[in-house]
Amino acid sequence: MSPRYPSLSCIAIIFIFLCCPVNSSAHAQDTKINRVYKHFAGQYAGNIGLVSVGVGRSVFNNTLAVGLFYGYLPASINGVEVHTIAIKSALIIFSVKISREITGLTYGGIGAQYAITRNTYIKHPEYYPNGYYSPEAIHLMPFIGAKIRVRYHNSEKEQRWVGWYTELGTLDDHIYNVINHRYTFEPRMLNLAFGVSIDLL
Amino acid sequence: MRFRSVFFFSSILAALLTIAGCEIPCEFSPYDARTSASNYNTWNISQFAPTVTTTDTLHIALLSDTHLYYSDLTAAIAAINADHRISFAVVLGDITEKGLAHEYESFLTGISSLTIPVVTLVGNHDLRSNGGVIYEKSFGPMNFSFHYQNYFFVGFNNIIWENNNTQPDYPWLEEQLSSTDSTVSKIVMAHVPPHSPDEDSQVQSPVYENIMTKYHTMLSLHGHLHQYRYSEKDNVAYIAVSSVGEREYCLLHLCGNSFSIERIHF
Repeated sequence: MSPRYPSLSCIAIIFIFLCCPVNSSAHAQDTKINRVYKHFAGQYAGNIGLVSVGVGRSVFNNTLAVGLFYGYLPASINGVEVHTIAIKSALIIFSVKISREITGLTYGGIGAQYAITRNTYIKHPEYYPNGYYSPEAIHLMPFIGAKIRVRYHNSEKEQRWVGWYTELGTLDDHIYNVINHRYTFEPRMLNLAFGVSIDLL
Repeated sequence: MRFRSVFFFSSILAALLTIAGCEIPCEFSPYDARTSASNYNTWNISQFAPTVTTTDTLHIALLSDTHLYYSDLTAAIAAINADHRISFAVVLGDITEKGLAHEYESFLTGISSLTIPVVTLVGNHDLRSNGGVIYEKSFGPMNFSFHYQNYFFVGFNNIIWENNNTQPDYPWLEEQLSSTDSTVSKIVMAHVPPHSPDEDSQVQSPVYENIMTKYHTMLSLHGHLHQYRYSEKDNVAYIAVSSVGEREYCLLHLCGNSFSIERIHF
């Protein structure tokens, strides 16, 4: 038997709300220059595949980044193949200049993923009664991260960076269970990701 | 501001590196099908040591639909462990909500404190996403059978919708029941009971009930409904066990060709 679940639109509204850029006081002075940077990223783990690659855009002088990722988890490792499409949105919380060419960043954000694997749906087949299950193909993934970035191009008009990052994230399911079922939040509910990003010229 | 930024960045970085050194997993996907357990049912069945004589009453704990009710499961296990009459336990399916690996792991962690062997059936929720693959890796085949004393137990996967809308393997079930000595009492366990409001039950129930009658099955044990239900048809007793989330499990007492069922509230 299955309880009835809220519709997909409710989840979408919450996601859009959480993804809305919030102006950080620490960066109020930086956001005066609204440049758009394109970047490429490669990531290991982080719940969007064994490896994933993505492209994105950074706006407000690199304080807000939005990326589209494709992740792959092969059957040879998992037993079942999983393809993942994810959107990640991250806002810099603090940045610190370590040297002239090196900057450290901390950021927080949220991702949404759609996975293609077995028996996983956004809309279930017609033989299921309407609303029998919530869509299991979509998950939200809040995360925080830290990045070290090195400037490799500097001109009067623009700067380009290459960065190495690690992210600590969790899944919507875990948060739901902690709130609704009063679970104790455990380290196993967290996951790590490691990645590299490079601004494109 | 600069000092505060340096301090904050260093703290976050240090925390992340510390956590990385701990046992934080690098998860590849929520649909990860890797699992720490393998053939748990097969191993548990091999642990059965029927040392009592066949004239003694056999006591079996029946649990079902544990889903995400882990604190209730822990309480149920404590009650079962305290009853030293019980020979083994059966979980009648739906041990997860979405068939995800972390849910299977949580169940296995919870059930590991049981001091008696346990056999776990597959439920409809357990087959969502890659749950079927995880179940087979963790527990073994979804259809299985075993002898215990003078009883023949059959675990049968009768899930349809989550099994790509395919029919249960009735020929396998008939083969199992027909191959057994007629002096042995037959007990079939399957997650969805006949006349359930879902899982194509209107069509499936007559087929299943005919098989139960044809092979003189003594008992047909189920879960799925989250509430206790008892019915009889053609000398076959059909019992649906309540969800552990309702703070209830059942004790099945078997003695020769007779049985009694006791609802335990914990």
